[in-house]
Amino acid sequence: MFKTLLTTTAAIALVAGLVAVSHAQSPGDLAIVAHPETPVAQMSLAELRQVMKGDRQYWKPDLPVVLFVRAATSEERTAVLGVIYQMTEPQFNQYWIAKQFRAESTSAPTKLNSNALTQQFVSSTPGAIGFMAARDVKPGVKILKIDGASPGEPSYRLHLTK
Amino acid sequence: MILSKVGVAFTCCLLVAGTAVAQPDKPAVHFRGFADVNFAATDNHLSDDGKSHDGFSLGNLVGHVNASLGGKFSFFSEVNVTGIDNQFSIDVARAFVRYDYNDRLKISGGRYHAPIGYWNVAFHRGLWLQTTIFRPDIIREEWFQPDHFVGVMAEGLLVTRAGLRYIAGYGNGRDSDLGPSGLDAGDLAGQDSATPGKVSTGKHRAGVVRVFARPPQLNGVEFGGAVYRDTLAVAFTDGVPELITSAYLAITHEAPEILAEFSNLRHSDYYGDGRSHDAWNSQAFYVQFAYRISQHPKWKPYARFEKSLTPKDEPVTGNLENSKILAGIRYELTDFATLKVEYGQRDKPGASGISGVFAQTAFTF
Repeated sequence: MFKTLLTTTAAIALVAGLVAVSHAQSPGDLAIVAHPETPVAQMSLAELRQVMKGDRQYWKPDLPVVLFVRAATSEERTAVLGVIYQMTEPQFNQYWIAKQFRAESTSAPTKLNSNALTQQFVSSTPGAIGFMAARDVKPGVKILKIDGASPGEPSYRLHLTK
Repeated sequence: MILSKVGVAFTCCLLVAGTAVAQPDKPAVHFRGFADVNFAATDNHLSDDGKSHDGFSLGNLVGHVNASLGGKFSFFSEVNVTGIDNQFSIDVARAFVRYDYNDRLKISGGRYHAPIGYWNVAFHRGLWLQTTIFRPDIIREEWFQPDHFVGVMAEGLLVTRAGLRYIAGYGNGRDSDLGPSGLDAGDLAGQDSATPGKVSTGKHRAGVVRVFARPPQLNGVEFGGAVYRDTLAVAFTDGVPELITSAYLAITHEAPEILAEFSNLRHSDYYGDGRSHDAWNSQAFYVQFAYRISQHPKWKPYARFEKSLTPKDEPVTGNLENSKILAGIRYELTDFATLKVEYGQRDKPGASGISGVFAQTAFTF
């Protein structure tokens, strides 16, 4: 009886430990980061899509959205194109050209070549929002919850693709 | 009087808003160009529009400039150079300045693409942006819908979560040639009562309201409708009320891409005797389908059907009845240049049909 209880307890502890490790802030998650003073802490995926597609351009009247994206061929950009924009690279380029042609935006998002630059620009630009690998996020930016979940949580939907 | 008060208030708001924010050293200017080169071979040797001749031609050379002026002001402009039979015409298609208060309210003044439907605003003469070689006739020929609008506009988000948006404009009425009707710009601009025979563009105003949605939950889907109201200053009448109502659906996934627009053009009281029961309704629509082949993403076949119907006694535009079917394929030479080949057939009641093969290379730079 005791041995059975001990074995069962050990098995439960082992499984719980494995789950905790796998669900810790996974290096495979994509974090949506914003300037610390941006007046938003969480967004739905649909709301995030509106911001990323330039359909919502102001957090509040005196604080415009400043959108930063990773340059092409990065795994972060691949993930964002697949889940949020649902576009290929050529479609993404055409989308922003068309957006400016229709006078809905004066410019395309600023492209950054590394997560370090994303950290630097988002932390220092009021109204900024961008994305980077969750593993590379450092203090100075706000990580937004998407659909109520943070990077590393089981229900978080934004993952880096290989 | 009311319009002048509104104009003064608008100007004052812009001046106050402009001084409240730090000014940049210089405007941030962005330029983009579009161009297309075409080839046509038709059975009547008059190309697709019946105006130009078969062979090679420069279609459009478009220069698009937008600039952030600082203080939430921005400027947009578009200049087109259009070639027909080795001659060129220059048109300032757009030029307007805009102030963005927030997502719900952006106000502007100038010259725009008339926001009556989808295609005219989405593509206009940036032919690299559109899948097909030709614009639908409902857009291409100004006899059904005005191409441009000069005045003031307000636009923005109505319901953010639904992506519901609006555009409302007030400005000059039509001043363009209605083609088949024989009416020209002078007829529509109105007569100056002090000087018989002299035309004046100050005789009539138009209004347009467009409501449309881009639900973020349905990525790549847009739908909406518009109402345009004008009074055409047709010669020898007291003015012909014009009402255009339209609706559209645009699915821009590319696999598939579905575009459909419908428009009703109504003229009434042409005889100016108050007989409101006299009304002439003309309809035009198109449906376009395209599909980017996933295994060969550079290829995108497409097809479109379009039709317009007019009462035979339509007094302003004349008989606009027309139907057209086309099919083609688009090939991406690069991410910024494309080659299109298309077959089109047009049928006009009472006239011989026109069919032809067309090719176009369109690009942006």
